[in-house]
Amino acid sequence: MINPVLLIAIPLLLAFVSILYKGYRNNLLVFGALVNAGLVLTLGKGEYLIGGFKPPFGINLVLDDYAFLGLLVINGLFLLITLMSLDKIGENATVLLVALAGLNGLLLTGDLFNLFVFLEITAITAYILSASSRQYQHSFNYLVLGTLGSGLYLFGLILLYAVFGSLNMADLSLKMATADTSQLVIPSLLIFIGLGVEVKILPFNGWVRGVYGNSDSLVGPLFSAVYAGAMLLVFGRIFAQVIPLGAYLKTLLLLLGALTLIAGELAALSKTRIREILLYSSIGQSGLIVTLFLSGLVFPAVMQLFNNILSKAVLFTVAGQMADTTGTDDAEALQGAFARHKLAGVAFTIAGLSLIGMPLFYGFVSKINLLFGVFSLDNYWLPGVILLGTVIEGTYLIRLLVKLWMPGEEGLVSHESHATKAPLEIQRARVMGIVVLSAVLLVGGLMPGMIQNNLSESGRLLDETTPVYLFDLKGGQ
Amino acid sequence: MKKALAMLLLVLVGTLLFMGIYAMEGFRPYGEVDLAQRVSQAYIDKDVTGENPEVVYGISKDLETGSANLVTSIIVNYRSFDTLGEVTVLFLSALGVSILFGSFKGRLRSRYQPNFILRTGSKVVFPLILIMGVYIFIHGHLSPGGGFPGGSMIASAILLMYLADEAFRIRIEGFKMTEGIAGSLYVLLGLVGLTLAGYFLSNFLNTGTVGALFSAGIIPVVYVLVGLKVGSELTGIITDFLKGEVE
Repeated sequence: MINPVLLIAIPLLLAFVSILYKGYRNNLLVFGALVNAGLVLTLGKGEYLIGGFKPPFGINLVLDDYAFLGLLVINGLFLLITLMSLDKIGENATVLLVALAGLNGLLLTGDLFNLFVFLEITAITAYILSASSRQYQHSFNYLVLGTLGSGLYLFGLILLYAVFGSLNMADLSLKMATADTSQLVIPSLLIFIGLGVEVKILPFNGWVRGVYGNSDSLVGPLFSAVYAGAMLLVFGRIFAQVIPLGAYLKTLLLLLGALTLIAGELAALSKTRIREILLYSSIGQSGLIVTLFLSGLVFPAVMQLFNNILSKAVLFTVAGQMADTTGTDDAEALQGAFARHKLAGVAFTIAGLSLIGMPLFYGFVSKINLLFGVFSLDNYWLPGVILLGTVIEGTYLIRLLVKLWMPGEEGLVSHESHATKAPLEIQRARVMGIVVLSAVLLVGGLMPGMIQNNLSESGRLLDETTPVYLFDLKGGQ
Repeated sequence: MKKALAMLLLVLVGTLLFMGIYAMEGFRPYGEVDLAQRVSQAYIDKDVTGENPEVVYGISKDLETGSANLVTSIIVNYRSFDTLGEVTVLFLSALGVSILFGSFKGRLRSRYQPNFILRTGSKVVFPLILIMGVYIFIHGHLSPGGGFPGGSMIASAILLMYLADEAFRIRIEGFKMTEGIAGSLYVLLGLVGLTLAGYFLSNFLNTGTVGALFSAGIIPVVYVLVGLKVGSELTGIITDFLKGEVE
């Protein structure tokens, strides 16, 4: 059995080595990403100790279904995005290697302080990567907000340790389950705010516009798919599986999630720059997924999360490429752009439709699953909010797709003369990458049974000694 | 207006936090915590992996962690993985600074010229600070200190030389080399543990007698690596921050 710690150790080792052999940085990065993506497939599920000390005294890695699915998608996407945008990496190969180690650590760790360390590592790589757009003020904003967020997370964790005397997730969740929930309000709120910065929850997401809005075809998909995916999975791990929330606090946080969903989608509706539309859609989707996690609908949330990040990887790659080669990503200036780039256009369209949740695509499966889940909850306003969000999302995404395929004024017959003259180029590697991703979305939509059965065959993983990590794949916790 | 509002909000949040935390029953005042109820007691008794009689300085042998310094035993043995992470955090910060400042050449000059006494005096103190730094990280498992403070002292010696001598230059490539090698060795040490003992970063060497210089298994080795790494990284950061004047 392969120990999953290798997923963290190998990229880290390669990162240190890449300092010594600068000329081979990109080769080391591709090698690391390939090895990791291969290793994920051979992992044996279970609990792995670090240093040989049993939890809660030592640190453990937990590889259950939840972590395994996350690792599979995150490592796969990381490899694909790196290969797709190899020419954009520049000086950042070492940073990306450390980022890979950090992301895997986030998904694997079973210890809340260890999680903080990996949060720091991942966040710092994100700050450095965001600076590659040379918009230093936005990176600085992100740096300040992100650091404050990690600080608050740490503060919340200190309070938890002061009360319960443990940092291990499983141990803490057992102790917290029997504790008075009023003890947990402040620590869980602090941890929520800390993660909320990275997960893009409403009052804490001021950095997103500047960073996502200026991202290129490497940083855009990395942030919107890989980083966002890992951070949301961490959020789900903590708030759906470790920290129990009292009724009032839960309603408050649910409201914040729902508000993020509606505000994000409405903001996207009013934008004309493609990357801005997408980034507000990302915020909206984060709100939706956070809401699902908080409602205890873990499996629907994970499915919707994968739908979101697979789609966003395609959408942001194309949008970043448009901005890189034409200097603008305004939908008005780029109308009819897909007439000359049909393959990329098809991939973009599949991703967009899947994001809305159209039938034939994976998004439909996840949306149906999610709606069944939400309607089975004892909640009268949540389904309405989610449906409203979907309608708004459909409106602006379809409007965008029409614009990019059909040049012309809205409401008039489309005519070639309106088509963009912008010198848009999309490298073959990127086209291939996004075609692969959209094919995954298509296969997932056409054969939903295949994915679902494989997931449930992987079954329950951990033995009964750590009941907290058991969650039934079919219906949440 | 905006500032006043922010101020008000800050005071409000602060008060709520303060009151909320003091209302938490489980949050005990200093000294009233029952250590047996938390993980700490096992670290103190060094009996995480099994029963262990009293730990006696200079006598107890072959404990699960041979470090006489309690804090070190947690940082570099029980929770060594976190330390590897923190080392990576510093590595990344130094890397980020060097990527941002990479295009700058030359160095900033202060308005005051260092005088003869400062220049000469610093040269006398420089080796002493270096030796102190090395001493601190070599004895990290015995006395307060360790890789991070020891490494910082080494970097502070370099900073002193920069401040005292306008002409002082270092070859940054050597420090980068040290940084890369020390980092790689730390991970490799973990991988050796994985191969020999089955656990990443496990203490696979004989832990010896508590309090001896050659004891505690891989802890001193790790601390020497961390010390060298931290020293060279902070030196790199200082060098990068002193850049700026385009010559």
